[in-house]
Amino acid sequence: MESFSKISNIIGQARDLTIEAATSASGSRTYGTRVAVAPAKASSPKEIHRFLSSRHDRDILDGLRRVVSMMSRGVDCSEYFADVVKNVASPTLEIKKLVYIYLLTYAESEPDLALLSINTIQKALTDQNQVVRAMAIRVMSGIRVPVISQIVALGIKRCVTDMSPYVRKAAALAIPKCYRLDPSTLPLLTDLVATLLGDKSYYVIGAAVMAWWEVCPERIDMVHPHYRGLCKLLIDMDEWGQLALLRLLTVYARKNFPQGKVKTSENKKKKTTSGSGGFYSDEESEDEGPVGGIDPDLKLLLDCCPPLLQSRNSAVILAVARAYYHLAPPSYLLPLAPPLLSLLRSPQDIQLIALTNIVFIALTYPSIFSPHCNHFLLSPVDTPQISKLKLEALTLVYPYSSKPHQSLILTELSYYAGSYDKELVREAVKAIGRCAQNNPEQSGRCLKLLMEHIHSSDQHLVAESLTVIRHIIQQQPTVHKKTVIRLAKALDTATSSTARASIIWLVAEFSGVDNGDNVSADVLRILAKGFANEAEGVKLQILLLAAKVYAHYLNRTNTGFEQPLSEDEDAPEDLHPIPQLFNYISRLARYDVSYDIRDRARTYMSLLSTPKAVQLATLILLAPKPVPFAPSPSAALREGLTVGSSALMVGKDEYVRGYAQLPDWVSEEDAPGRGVRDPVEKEYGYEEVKEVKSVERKVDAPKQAVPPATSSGQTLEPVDVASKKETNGKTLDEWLEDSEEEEDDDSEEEEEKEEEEEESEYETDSDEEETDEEDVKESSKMLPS
Amino acid sequence: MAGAIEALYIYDSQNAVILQHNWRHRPTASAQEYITAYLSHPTPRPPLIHLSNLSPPTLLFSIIHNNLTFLSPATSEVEPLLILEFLHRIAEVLEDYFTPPLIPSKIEGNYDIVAELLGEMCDDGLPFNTEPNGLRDVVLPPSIMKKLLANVTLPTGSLDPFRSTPSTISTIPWRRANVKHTSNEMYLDLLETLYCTIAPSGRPISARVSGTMLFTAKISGIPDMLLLLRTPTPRGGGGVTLEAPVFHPCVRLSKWNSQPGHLSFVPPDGKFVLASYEVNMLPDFSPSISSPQPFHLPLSVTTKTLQGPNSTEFEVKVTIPHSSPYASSSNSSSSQNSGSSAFARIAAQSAGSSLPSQFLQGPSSSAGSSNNPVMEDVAVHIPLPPQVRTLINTRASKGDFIHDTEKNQIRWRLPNAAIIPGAAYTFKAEVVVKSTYEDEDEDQTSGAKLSNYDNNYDAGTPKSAVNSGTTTPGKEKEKEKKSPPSAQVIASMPRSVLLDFTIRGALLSGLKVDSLNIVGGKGLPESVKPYKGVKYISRAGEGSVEVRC
Repeated sequence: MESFSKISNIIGQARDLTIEAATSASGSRTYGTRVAVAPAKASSPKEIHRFLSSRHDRDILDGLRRVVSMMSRGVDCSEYFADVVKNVASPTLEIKKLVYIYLLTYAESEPDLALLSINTIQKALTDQNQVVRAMAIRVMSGIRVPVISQIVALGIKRCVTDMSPYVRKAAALAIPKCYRLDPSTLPLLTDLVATLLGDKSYYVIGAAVMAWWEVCPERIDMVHPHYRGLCKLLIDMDEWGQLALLRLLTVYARKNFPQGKVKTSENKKKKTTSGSGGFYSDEESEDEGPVGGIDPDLKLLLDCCPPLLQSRNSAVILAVARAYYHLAPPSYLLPLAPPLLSLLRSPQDIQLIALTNIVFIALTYPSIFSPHCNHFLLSPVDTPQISKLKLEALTLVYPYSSKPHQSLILTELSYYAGSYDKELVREAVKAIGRCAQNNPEQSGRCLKLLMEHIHSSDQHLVAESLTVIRHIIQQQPTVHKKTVIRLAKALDTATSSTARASIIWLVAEFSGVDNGDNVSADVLRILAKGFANEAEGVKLQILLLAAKVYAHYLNRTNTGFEQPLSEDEDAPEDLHPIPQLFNYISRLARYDVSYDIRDRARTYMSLLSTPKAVQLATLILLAPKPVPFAPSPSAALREGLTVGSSALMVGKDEYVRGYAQLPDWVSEEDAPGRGVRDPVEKEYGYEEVKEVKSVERKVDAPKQAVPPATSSGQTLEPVDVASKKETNGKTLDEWLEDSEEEEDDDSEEEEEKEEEEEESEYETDSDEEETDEEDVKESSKMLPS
Repeated sequence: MAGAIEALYIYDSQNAVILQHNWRHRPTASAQEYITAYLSHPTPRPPLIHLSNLSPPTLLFSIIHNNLTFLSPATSEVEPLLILEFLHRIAEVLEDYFTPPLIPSKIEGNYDIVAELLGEMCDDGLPFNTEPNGLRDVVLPPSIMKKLLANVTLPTGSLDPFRSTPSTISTIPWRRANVKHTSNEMYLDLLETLYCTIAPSGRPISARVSGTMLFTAKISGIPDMLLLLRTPTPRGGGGVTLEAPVFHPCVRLSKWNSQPGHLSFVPPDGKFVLASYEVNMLPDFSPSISSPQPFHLPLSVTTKTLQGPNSTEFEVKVTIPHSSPYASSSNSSSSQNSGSSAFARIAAQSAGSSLPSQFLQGPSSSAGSSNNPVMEDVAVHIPLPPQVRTLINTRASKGDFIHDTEKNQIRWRLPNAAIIPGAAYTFKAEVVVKSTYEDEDEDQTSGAKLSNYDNNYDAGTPKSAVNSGTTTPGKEKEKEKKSPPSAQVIASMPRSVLLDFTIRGALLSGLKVDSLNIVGGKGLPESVKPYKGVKYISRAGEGSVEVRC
């Protein structure tokens, strides 16, 4: 969402505002000196002392404001500690607040004096005003004096059961502070977190989850009884709570739901990436596939997320994307694209981060963005970083786009290649190259576009285009023979040395085609004339061309099944133009100023001196070259990182402190049963549903999962579960069949190796299997009742 | 994975620190070092910089708001968007408290309030309460603060009336408790920005409209509102759909999802962004030129390059279509004032009557209202290629222009009075190519050499027009007369022009407000009829509309 002020500026009296800004900016120095700087600097400590010790609230407030101003400017104010803190008991809320702000910063440096204030703050915990109570617990926990940890812990305990959700929220946020103060309070704090996780107010839950992250992130078991409730509350929480909870639920899902089903869909994803336009077929197969087979609890989480995609908070949208990317089968990702792209309406800083993540997601699931590819077209306002990412996104979605879009993308890329910005030119040409490489059928079109650029006056563009042309030609050498000839013609006009070197190298590579009946010898003849004036890199390539042409010539004349050339019969071998050209160029090269050229000339000459050694020369000079493959720039940099993390932005090369990969999927055996997530008391679950209703907000997805509240908790839910378990059972049966077959194979091997020792174990294995099967049958029997 | 916001530093436009606030940060560097590290990156500076040389390595997040730089260092992994959204939220809250625009003196004059706000918004690095309305329940805004200071001439204890005020906290997180207004009013501003690229043929390549709804509510009690939007379905079916909408948390999503176009919400008090959306103006894109064009720019811009005797001129022509619904009437004075009187303010006359009748058909003479939209602030930007040394013989048939040498572009503005249907204005200029062009020497040598064997290949393009050797533009022009334009002159022609305009009174997507009513809630007496106003603005600017040459 666009920033509020930007819009109001546009709509409102933009000009008035600028005038105001200008006047106050020009006056800001003087104004600032008068109001803020002057008191901070001019007012002596004595003066402030006098203010703070005054009997009038007005003076005290004035003194406190000066102290806080200095703190905000980064001035050390610890000298006023005693004067400030003695006002902690003031009944005036405004004074209290400012004293608290001071205490939070300086209590650590004066622990003894700070202790004097504890008593008063503790009293405030019983104040009638919820704001005062919340402030008291916040300050008490924020005073970093370890001696009081027990008092703080007790204070938190008291506030956790406070009537006001506002106070409970403050208490939840106090828990991590207390933990850092004194880790020995952990058991008590963990209990408190557990209590708060079961809180009925969506206002508190978010803070409770944040506390959980800080205090006991490994205690995933604490979440079990609350999991379903948390999923349903997700929609009602504030955006920061949603962020913490989405983080929690993503980790929870990885640790509790076996991956099995997702794996199959990943296989399918691979299938689609191989063929273009396979996106729709993918979806169809997904429908028949095991989507319904994912754990119902995981499905509950995934179904609770879509409303969050309409959040105004970009972080929430990206957090949902992370959950889907790392948890859901691919069919879930399709609705993700528009909300993610809506982030491109945000301010530029958010845009950049959103786009980096979009490109990252597109590396794995390009097809979901292909219908929206026009979002990635560059706009003149884009910053270089954003342009670069957009180009990458375009090349990623290119193979999956419709024909008109493909042609649009190519035309646009070609247009960008003519930009004024050198960096953009380079990126655009590379992007065309990647399009060609990802979609070989279209490479002809790409080549044509690039060929248009080799006559450009912009040498960067020419050089960059040729490098990419070379890559494309190398991928399908047979298709592009004609292109090489056209390139050879371009040697007349190409002036950039790298471009010329590229062309000559390509010509040399093609010097063997059609049994020597090609342009390479002719090109060599022409280049020989201007050899002396070429740049070093070009000279090297000419020399190489000469060597290659000669090597091919030797191969033809030596091995006997060459076409007998008429000149061959008439004249001695030495008089054939090719050996003469080779001799001419190598002699020129031997007396070149560059060592490198001289050395190479000598190498080639000795390699090709005796026709007998031609096999070795062939091996060295005419070895088949590996086809170059340019991966998407983000692929190597960010592979395997978590969507939405800072590490993803920084890239793999640098280690971001505190970054942890998402845990791996839990294995089938280690996954806890569904039962752990059943609410502890039935009644409690019923109440929870009621709570969601009473909140009177936008619960839509959850409502599908949670039927209307009339005693639904007991009657309808089991039916729901039953239907799902049935499908689960079926797939499990299939899976068992499969695995039995597999295991037969395995077991044969096993038996051979370990027949004597391990027989018993194998038996127990199969026993377990049977019991599994029985379990399933039992449960399916039980469920319909 | 904790996701904590550790500290905040705000710097003014001279990069001097004006505020530092610490939630849980153990500083790894001084405020000055942070800004130095930030400034060491070239503009536009990345929003996230990893300072791996500090101990411990620090992630430095940044946003820029009104020339103020907000930096937030973090010493461990955190979701980047969480920090950035929070920084933007801080800027918004500060602006809400101290009235926009946010300038250093407003922060410097109110350090105490800022410190209170920052302490309330974020507790120990974890976001606590970020809703402007929620904050107003707890932190007194400067106006009340001043009153408070004026009153405290009396000794201790006299502040009790103020003390009790914040003790009630609203049950709705985004709306403060006990809202009372003497005059009840609500305004809805719909703003659309056009992002569009037009091919040289005049065919749109892409056209998207990004819309924002800004709501201003000054209604007592807790009103429950229903806003009905009407999306047009013209142009042979299809119509427009609001894509990828995002909403303020107050909007009931279930209502929107079951009945798109119905926004049901209890608004916060004051100004807020209700929703934003986008509309693809080319829903069925096809590259064939013959296909009908569903979208036209409200202005037509055509460019001609390589004009004049020396092929060094270019021309930009802006035409206001005859049938333009946006052009002002001949009465130019009214259109110039329309900016200020653009609000189509209509007081609802009876509770039962819905708005559209007044909104859409009501006789209103003010230009810029929905039944008489006007176009204003038309400007054309022409970015020039780096090869252009200067322009000569620049002339515009209307309006004034500047050659901004720093950005190397022409800014040509048309006066609002000139926006009359059927009018056409042109801008012409002649380019002078830079004589010392980078690869000049190389050009010459290779050109001379290669011409030796032009005979051997049928050369693609003859290099005859090499004019890099010429030193004065005069000579160059003489040469040009004989030959077709050289590659350099072609390269020195502008590649695109950027168009700015503002339309008051209409939305490009055709979206309209059908009605805006208070359908429930409490605290507002039945007899009170709030004042309602809707404003439509469409605009293009900052390079959002690109017309290629």
